[in-house]
Order: sequence, then structure tokens, then C-alpha cells
Amino acid sequence: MTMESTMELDDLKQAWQSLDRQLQQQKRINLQLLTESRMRKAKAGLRWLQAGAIAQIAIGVVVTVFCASFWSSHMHQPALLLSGIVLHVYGVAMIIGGVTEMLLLVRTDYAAQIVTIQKYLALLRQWRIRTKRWFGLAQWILWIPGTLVMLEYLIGFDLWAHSPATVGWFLAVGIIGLLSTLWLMYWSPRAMRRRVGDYIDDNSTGSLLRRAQASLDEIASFERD
Amino acid sequence: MQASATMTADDRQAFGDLLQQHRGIVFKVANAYSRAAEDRDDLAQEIAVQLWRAWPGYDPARRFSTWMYRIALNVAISFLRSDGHRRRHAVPLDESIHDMADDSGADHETAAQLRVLHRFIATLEPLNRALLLLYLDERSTREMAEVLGISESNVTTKVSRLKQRIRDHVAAPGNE
Repeated sequence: MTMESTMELDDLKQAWQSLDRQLQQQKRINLQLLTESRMRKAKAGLRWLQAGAIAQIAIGVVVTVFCASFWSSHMHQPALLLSGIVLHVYGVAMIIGGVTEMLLLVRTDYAAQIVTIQKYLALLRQWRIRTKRWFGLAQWILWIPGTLVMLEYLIGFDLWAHSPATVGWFLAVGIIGLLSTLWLMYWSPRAMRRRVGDYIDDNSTGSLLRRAQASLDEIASFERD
Repeated sequence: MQASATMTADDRQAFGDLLQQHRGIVFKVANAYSRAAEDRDDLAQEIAVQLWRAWPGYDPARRFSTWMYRIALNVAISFLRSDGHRRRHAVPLDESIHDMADDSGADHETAAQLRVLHRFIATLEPLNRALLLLYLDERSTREMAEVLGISESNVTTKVSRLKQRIRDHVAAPGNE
């Protein structure tokens, strides 16, 4: 039996303390590098991210307000009423997505207890991945109510009333596109899914979601005695 | 971030002094949660930036090291879980463990112990890794519970399990 095979955790404390002493003197990681320019860079990066989230919230508010007034003034035109409501819901979802981003960016209190903050971060990450995925998929359908609403708003042309077949074709394209994407994401052969993942996003394989869930499971198990 | 911009020169000095005094915490956490040298530097810098951001909210009635550990570990765990860094972590970087032991200028036995310890740390989940770091740093059970957000009895149980895990790890073939 070697010296190491009888090693106990407490024996390792001493080795750790010696590493600690050496690390204290190590010049490779120099905290003096934390200069004003580094802080300015960090602030600028955060500002851009915040600006993106704020822009998303602002666009969401505009879409929500516009669509609320649109569908309420088209109560007797079912296609336009439904289109307005669908886009209204999308606007609200944009606001929620933007607020979630803001929470991730500015409300993450790293001074909180580890289990609390990690759980919060994992939940937000999970929520963000899910919403991102559904926002992406929804585009296959959303362009149809978008087209109907804009045609009516800009030139007063009710496409559904004049050519329901065209709207039907639009819907068919949207549904085929949506189903094809879902097939590629979930049901296609694994090799193809991987290639699609490279093109679209790693989200498509669901691996990010699984990781977020694994983090939550790990935290839950850590909290238990 | 805005709050830190309004700090006075005295605040900055106080923060700088405390950071300097406790910088070992930043280095140890950065080393435990990253292997590649560039990741270690990035993580140490990120921890320092987050400490700076959180500094205006620091309550001087509480221990600075406890506050610092919470931030450093939270940032490190998030860093480890972030997608970009995870890809780099997916590659085993065993040589950096050896580098660390060699860099430390420790004697042969200590270097061997450090290698075992770092191999063991690399097998731990992020939260257990945090617990181990606090334990190795001889923090009290109460302080560990406070940093982690679990009960003191849970800390005791988990430390016992860690002790058993390292025994098993050392006894496993290839880890001597």
C-alpha cells in the first residue's frame, strides 16, 4: 500500500495550505490588472447587453399597444381579430423575454448564498432557453398574422376577405415549415440532427435544456441531507 | 455597476486593500474551477470584476472573506456552467495540474498530494467542489453553511461523504 492510498482528506489540507502560500505570491494572475480600462470594457459590454434587452422590451410594448388597438377595432373581422390577438400575445411574450434577460443581467446578486443564486440562475437559464426555442419556432406561423395585419393597417386590404385561399396557402407553408423544423429537431436521425444543430443552434438538440435541468437536479440533491 | 462608479477614492482604497489581503481566495477558486491557464486568468478577472460591482452592497458588519467566497464561488460555478467555457473544459487538461504542482515549488510528497487533490477536485460537481474548497480552507461549519445556503448538519453530512469519496478515489486503480 502506498503513502497515497492511505491518504485522508485532512492530510491534504496541509498540501493545500502550501499551494495557498505559493498562489499568494504567484505573479501570473495579477489582480492589479483590474484597471479602469478593464472596468470600462466590462461596463460597455453590459451596457450593450442591457440595450438589447431594453430594445426588446420597447418593441414588445409597441407591438402590444398597437395590436391591442388593432384587434379591438376589428371585432367583426374574425381573421384580423385573431391575427391581432396572436401578435398581441407575441408582444407580451417579447416583454417577458426582455425582462427575463434584464433580470439575468442586472439582478444577479452574486453575494447571495450559493444554493439560492445558482437555483435562480438555472431557472432563468432554463426559461430563457425554452422561450428562445419557442420564439424561433413561432416565426413559421407569425409572419401570416403579421402580413394580414400590416396589409390592413397600411393599405386597408383585408387579404382573408379577398383571397382566403392565399391565406390557406400561407398557413400550409407555415405548418409544413414548422413540422419540418420539429422533425429535424426531435425526430430526425441523430447524425442529421447534429448537422442541423450546427446550422441553427445548439438549442435544437435540447442539450442546453438538459444541462439546465441537470444543474437544477444537482442543486436539489445538494440541498438534501 | 453604476453604484461602483460612484465610489469615493477611500472606498476604492479600502476595496483594493481587502482584495489584496484576501486575493488567495480568488486564486484558489479560479484554480479549482478552471484548468487552462487562459480560463484561470479570465475567471480570476471575472471574480475581481464582480467583487468590484458588488462592493457598494458589502456590509462591513459581516466577514469580508465570507462575502468574498460567496461571490467568487457563485461566479466560478456560473463560469463553469456557461456554454463557451464548458467546451474548453470538456478537454482534459491534465498537464496543467502537473504545472500547478510544479509551479508551487512544493516538495515531491506535497506535489504528489496536490496532484491527487486536483484530480479529485476535477471529479466533483460544482457545488461539492465549493464545499471542498471551504473545508480545505478550514472554514467553520457555520461559515460553510452560510456561504453555501444549506444547514450546518447538511454541511457535516456532506463533508463526511467527501472524506469517503476521497478515500475511494485514492484507492481506485490509477489514482495512486
